[in-house]
Amino acid sequence: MPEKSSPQIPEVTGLLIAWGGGDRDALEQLTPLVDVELRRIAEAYLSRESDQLLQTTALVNEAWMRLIDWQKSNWQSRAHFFGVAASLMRKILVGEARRRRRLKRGGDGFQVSLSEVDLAPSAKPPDLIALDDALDALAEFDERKSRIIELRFFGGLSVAETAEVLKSSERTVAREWELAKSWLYRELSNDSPVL
Amino acid sequence: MDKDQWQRIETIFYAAMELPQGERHEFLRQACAGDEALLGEVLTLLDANRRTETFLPPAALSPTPSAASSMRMKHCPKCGKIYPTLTRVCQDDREILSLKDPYQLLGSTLADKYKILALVGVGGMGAVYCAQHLGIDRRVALKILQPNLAIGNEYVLELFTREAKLAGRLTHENIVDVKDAGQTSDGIAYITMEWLEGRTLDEELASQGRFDFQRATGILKQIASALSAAHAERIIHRDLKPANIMLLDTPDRSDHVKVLDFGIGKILSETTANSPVSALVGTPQYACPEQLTVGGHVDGRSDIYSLGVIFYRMLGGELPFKCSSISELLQLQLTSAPPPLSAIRPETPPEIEALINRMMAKDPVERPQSASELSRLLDRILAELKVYESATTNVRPAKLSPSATTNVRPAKFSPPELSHVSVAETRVFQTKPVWRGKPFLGSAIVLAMVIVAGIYGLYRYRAQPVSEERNSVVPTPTASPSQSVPTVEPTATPGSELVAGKGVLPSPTINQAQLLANQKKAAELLKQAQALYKQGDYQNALRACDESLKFNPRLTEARQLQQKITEILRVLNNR
Repeated sequence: MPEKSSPQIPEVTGLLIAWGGGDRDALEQLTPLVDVELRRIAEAYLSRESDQLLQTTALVNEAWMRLIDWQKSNWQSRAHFFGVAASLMRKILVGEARRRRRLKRGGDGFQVSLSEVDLAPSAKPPDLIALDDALDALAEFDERKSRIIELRFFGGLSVAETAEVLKSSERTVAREWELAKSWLYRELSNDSPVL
Repeated sequence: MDKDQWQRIETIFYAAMELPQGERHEFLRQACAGDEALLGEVLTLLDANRRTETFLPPAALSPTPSAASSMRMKHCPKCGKIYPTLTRVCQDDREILSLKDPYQLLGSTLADKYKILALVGVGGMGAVYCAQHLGIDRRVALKILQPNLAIGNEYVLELFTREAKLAGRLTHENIVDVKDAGQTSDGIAYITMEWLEGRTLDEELASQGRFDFQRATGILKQIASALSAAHAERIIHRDLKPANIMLLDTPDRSDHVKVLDFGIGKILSETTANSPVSALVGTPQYACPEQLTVGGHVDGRSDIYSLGVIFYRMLGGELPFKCSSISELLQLQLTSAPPPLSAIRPETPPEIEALINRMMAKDPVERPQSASELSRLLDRILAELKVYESATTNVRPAKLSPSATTNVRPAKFSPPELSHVSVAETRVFQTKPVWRGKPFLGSAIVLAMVIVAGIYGLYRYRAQPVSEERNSVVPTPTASPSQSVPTVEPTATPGSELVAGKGVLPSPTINQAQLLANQKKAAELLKQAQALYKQGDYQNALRACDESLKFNPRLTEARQLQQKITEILRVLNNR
């Protein structure tokens, strides 16, 4: 098997396993490690593909590959990782979008698509800043739905994976996703010309 | 929003979603019981839901990437007629068809010498045009680096120019010829290559599904030959996939392969540390485990893995790993053995299957160690199969016992009925190499010498340890060798493992049916182990692995899984 070059790998994996086992402190230690890696990867992408749509799934997966020793982690610990990564990804991307908007006054914000393939032309990616604000608004009365969107959109998780992270059934997550998406769509189409 | 109100909305929304469109209004009227605000909320949400199909698309790998690209159309630059993307030439005026050009270079002249005729392909890094070299009036393929990637991004530019330099070093009949490279005054970086008339292997597979053995092995050999030449120059491809392999149009319709895009190839002697895109370069479906792992050491054997996936797809008509998300794909690519090819194509000769499994071994050490070794292995297998084939066609059919016929290959590669095979022919089968998951260096030569000189003693000497090992494979050997099976010169049998694996040749010491049954049992147990492993039930998965190995100690996947689980349990117990 290939050698591991990063000393962080066992550390992250160990923390994930510890967190999975109920060690709350592990999350505190884990977050900055994942954060640094995600930022590094995101920046590399952002500088390279300035006008390209950014594929967050690719970023999170790359971080996953860099940070976790797949031999030693089971899916559950990876689910935790995706959970953390999704939140951090949102922070990084929205932060970047806000920074760009400041630089390019009146700009469109920063657009992101999760799709790995070209989508129908109608599938315009949402404005990240508006999405972020809407998610905050949603979280005020339904935090869980906001989290589902975060996991699926920013973390690139499937329904099944999201259910795993939330320790819930797929069916429940699927219908909650429908409602959350509908609410967001309605919310964003009110004030955003993007949709 | 008020939390209570939201809960009411939620309940009604879910209930309504379950109902057919026509029944929703009546239901909502009753459920909201005159609460106009509530009704309005739910109605607008349901309405929004209908438009969210492409909103916030969940991440997924498209199983057929071509489905998306087929929505794009091609047009004839001359008459403007529209064609599907796979069409190459306009029916009316034989012009090369073009895609819609996002870079708007169509019709312009690049670097004062290349007139851009058509856009024939678009990729992540740039685009490929068909152009006319005005100086020598010859058609070339002109690849440009996406302009906004090239400008102000030295790293990408360097990668691109390196592609030109690397590819420029290679001259081989199965590698596309690079002619020229440069950068225009307005900053467009380009490479020109010979213009090839043909289809990509990807397109061919999309239209043909899968290939017969002859065709697949023919293509495989040519790719291996190209890789061998590149590896000799210390260049590895790193992104080998059907879309990067061109099948030229030839007058006799035979396949002439050209490997494209040694684009992200890297010089082996170079250090990898300064490459920021080390991990994710490559196409995940065809990328080897070490390419998908942090700090994985990528070398020529990585190309062998990718080629294994291509070979699998050519024969099986599908990719070995199918999944709905990238993370799942990576997981499979890193940890699971490909499903046996014989499961989707039963007539697959076991030798071919074994070769593919070796090419796709997770550990590079277990793969053929070079493209030339791969070619040698393949030649040898083909020669063996040919011997079979010719023997079969010369032989009258004979009765076989039911147990012996269970594993007989159908059609083309069915083994000979030995009662009618002369001693000389039998000897050829008996001297087949022993497949043990390790390269048998020089054994081809040794065996050839054996056949030619007929040094029987030497043969026996070599065969002896193998027979012992095989005995150990069978936990419950019940000897009933010759009930209805034709007689063979018994002394020579032990070395003929490949033949034995097919369950047709008898052995004086081991019941072949038993051996097969054990192998089958081992495979079943491995499957159980894998399923348990996926569920996280490591203890029982480990037990199943151990059991599996009892039935077949040489089942590499079981061995690997056993090690992996042991490691996991160690970590879990330490925490």
